Amino acid sequence: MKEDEVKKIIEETLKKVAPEVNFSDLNLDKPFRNQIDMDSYDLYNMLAKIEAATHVRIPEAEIREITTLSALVKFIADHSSEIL
Amino acid sequence: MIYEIKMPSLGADMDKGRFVEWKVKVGDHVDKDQEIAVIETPKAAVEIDSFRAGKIVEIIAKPDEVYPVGSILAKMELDFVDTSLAEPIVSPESKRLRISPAARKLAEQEGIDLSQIKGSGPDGTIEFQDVSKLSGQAAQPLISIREAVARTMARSKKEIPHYYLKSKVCVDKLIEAVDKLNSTPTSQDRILMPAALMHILALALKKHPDMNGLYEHEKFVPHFEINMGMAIALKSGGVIAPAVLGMEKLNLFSVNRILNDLISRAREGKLKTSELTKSTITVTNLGDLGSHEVFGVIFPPQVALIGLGQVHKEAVVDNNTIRAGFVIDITLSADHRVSDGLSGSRFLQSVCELIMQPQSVLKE
Repeated sequence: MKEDEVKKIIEETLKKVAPEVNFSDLNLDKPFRNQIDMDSYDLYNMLAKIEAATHVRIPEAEIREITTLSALVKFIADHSSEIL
Repeated sequence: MIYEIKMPSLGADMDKGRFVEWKVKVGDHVDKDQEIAVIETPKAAVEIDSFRAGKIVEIIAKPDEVYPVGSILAKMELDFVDTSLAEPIVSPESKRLRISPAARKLAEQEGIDLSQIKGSGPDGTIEFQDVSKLSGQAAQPLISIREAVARTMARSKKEIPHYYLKSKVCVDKLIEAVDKLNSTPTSQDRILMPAALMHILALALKKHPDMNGLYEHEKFVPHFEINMGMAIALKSGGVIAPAVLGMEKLNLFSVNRILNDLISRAREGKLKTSELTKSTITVTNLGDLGSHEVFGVIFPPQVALIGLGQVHKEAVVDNNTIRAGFVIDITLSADHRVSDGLSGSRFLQSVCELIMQPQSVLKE
């Protein structure tokens, strides 16, 4: 899966989880949880939707390492051959 | 036989509640567990279920009026005589609302009931503008959530001689076990780390009953039931701690499912009476906010509070070699009238042992 496709999926997911957020206003290279009012349960909710849409599983250890949307996009693009 | 429906007590700090609305009227027959009214407390809007079956014969409480706990709200003629004593219970799971984080935050700040709002967002999501239209029109809260928390915490510090302990434990194996569970074809909901940790805490509490119970009337009563409250910070300020009930008999998947539902309903202000009043111990998870350690204040009349810090990387010693691993600091605030450092340490040791060898305990 290409990074543009992944970015689109994340944008669509954010529209459901945080509809007020304008994806184009976000800095993809800065911690996204500081930019979006999101606690851990919102985060898990968002990641579950992204996993379902991309069929890429995000391990618990990786969740703690991925702090920016750029990192999230890259992880999913790199692992898009994995099956949930 | 006439049965009196009374204003319930939904927490140690609650002495009154605002009556919001009746769902029934005089002459209506009410079934057991049927939703009959909505009341508002400083912490949440709560639906009251009828604990008995019968006919409503008198309505006393008026909408938007404040009544002390124990006040008679209505009278019911019972279908049959039932001598069991129990408090009214509230409704089963209410309809889940889709709410954006910003809308939820504004509603909490303004004391607006989200269930009364029709969302204009995708799939009926309630968005910020849906709530902001009503902002300023909401009724004044009884007392702020912050004030309710302040009362409870002041009382706790005044009455309970706290002692504090901390243990640090490597959670690499726990993370691995949770990831394995989340990768099975039958897994539907993602198992959350807080749920896994709560499940492990419950297993440890079975062996350490002096951490799970209530101190009332100058004596400690240990509870077989483990009703674990999870402190949830409200964006408008203050803390609410609804409980996952009966954890002694739940498996991990049930805990996970119930916890997700609880958090969702806590944010919507749709909690059950029993979830707010029957906690036997509380867990506070400030790890999400980056704190490594939290030494909390016990919620009276409970006798312990467990703190979970942020899961973070540190140098760990493994087979006499140093490597980077994920660790968590687990803290215990406990009542010195009931337990001491020795029993508290043993409890934390049990928790750490289960965390380091989780495979056998995290079963489907």
